[in-house]
Amino acid sequence: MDLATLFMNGLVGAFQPQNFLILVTGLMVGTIAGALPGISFVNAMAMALPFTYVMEPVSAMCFLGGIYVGGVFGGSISSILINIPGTPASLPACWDGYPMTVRGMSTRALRIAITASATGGFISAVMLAVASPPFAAFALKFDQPEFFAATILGLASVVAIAKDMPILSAISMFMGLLIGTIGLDPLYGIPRFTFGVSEIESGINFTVVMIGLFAIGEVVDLIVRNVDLRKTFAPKPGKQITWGELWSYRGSMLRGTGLGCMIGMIPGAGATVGAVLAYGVERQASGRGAEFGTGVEQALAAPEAAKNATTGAAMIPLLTLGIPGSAATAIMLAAMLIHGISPGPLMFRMDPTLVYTIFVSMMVANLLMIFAAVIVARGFSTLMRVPPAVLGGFIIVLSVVGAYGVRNNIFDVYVCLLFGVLGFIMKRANFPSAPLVLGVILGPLAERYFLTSLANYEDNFWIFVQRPISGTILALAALFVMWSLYPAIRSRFAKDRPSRVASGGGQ
Amino acid sequence: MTLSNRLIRVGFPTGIIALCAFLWFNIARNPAALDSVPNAVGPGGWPRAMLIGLAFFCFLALLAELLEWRRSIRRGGDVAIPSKEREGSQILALAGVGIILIYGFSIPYVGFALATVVFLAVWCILGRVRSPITVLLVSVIGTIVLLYMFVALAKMPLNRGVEPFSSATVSLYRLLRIY
Repeated sequence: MDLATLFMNGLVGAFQPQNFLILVTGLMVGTIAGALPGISFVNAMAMALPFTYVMEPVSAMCFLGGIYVGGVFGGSISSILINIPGTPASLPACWDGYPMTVRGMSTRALRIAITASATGGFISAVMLAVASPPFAAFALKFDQPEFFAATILGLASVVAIAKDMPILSAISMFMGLLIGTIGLDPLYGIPRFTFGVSEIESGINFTVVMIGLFAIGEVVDLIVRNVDLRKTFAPKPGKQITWGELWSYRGSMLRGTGLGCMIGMIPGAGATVGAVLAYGVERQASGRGAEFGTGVEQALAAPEAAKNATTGAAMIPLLTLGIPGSAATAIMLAAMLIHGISPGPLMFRMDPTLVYTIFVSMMVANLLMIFAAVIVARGFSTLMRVPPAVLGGFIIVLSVVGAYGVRNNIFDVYVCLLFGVLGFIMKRANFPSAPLVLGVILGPLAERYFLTSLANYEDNFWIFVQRPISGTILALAALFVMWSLYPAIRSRFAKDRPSRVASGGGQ
Repeated sequence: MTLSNRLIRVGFPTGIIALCAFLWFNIARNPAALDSVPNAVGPGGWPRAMLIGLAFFCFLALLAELLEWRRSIRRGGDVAIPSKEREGSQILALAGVGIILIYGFSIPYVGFALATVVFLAVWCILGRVRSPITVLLVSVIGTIVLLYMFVALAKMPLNRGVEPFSSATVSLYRLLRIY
């Protein structure tokens, strides 16, 4: 099939009434969840998983894609209107969006944010459609050592991105990798760490771990914080914005989009890193750096564009290699596996209609997001009246049903609850939980690729560096780790030096 | 930082290292099976590597914490007194976690429907929702909506519990015309 036919098939798939309706529903759910402080779009995606069990694979991906796109933007609504970021990635919107609200320009700020996000997201979705097929064709040359190296790159970048706490991130990741070894080993079927419990011989399902960590842990934290959002909401719509004015911010939007697309492709980076980096770059590039933080339009447009530009780009490693780079894409992977779809280069040959429907759905979602965002922003005051406890209660029930529905097994509910408690403890202790989840997902993959590589290449441990592609990917992984550790080591020495000088001076 | 916080931060990596040592000798129920396969790594190789990695980074974290502790003692310590508000939130957190665990573990005995009604009501009360009408509406109508979504639409075999709760759940399903 040629490209035009594939796109037409994708269009037909995305605009089927059922899929379109599900996409719109997902967008609304995501935007609302993102706008509610304390409930991130990842929570919403985890909660939405049980609903996808009964959907067709295409519909399931439309639903989750809609939540993802809507949720990434939704956080900016609460950032701009009440100065509380709905998601961590919306933090830059607080810095310059909320000052605009304070000056009576909330509608203007929201319109800039919505336009920038939709632009960034749409361009990113186009890039996903353009870049994925050739990348998947290239990935067809991959053998087991290359897949192992790609998995290691994913794990390395998870730690590398957590620059402020690399040791804790590494501990979290290794905990996840260890949890991933529970159950029968992939080559010989010998049970490991089962301690006679037959239910865990098939392993700990990563979907269950994710639901527990992201949904339940967050809800307990939400009820403990008991934020009353009603008191903080009193914006004035103020001065409107014209299309001409929006056009004048195209440079900021394009810079943000470019950065977001690049950052999104790196496993582990995600929307938060993209938005914060775009804010920093825009500070230098806009020529208004000194005014940043006082309600500068460019400072709002660039990170908003970058944030949503990561959504399409983050799907590239998922669809082409089957390696999720973030919690959101990990949930999408879970949904695919539940429906018997294995993402990877072969999917582009075996099921191109599904792939192109996902592409078109992402593009449509970013355009429809404008309407979803406007509706949610208008109903925001009503949304703020829902007590956090009511929302939290339903999230927990949906999480329990989601965990149960993975295998219709009550044992998974117990596992989910235990990980929920762990998630809450990790959140309170400021211990990163995302590396643990990625460890649980990527660990079994890495082990399987590692063992099959050795089996195929006569137990040659050097095969991973001897083959050019896997060697390059592993070198990139090493570079990532060194890049992340360098500032930490430098600051440690910088911290020690003055104290040594001071103690030396005293002697 | 309080002494108890400091001990938690030191105790956590120490505990994980001890756990790694225990797991090292308990990877499989029959350790001989791990080394009896004709492979350079075998089924035990990968878990062992993960245990080494975890223990190594825990050791680094422990070392960093001990160095920080020593610096803090030299500076004269920075002991912060925990506030009553924080103690209150800790009790609330423990209660929240306890309720969630009781909810999950009670489902096989009392069934999803009854467990969910009770859980939603208790959770709302814990979350400072004081209006009895709101609590009642949220828990009862919420559960009915969930039952329609998952039992009627998604056809999920949600747990009905043991007798007499099983019969009660079936009666409820019949009343709602979803059975």
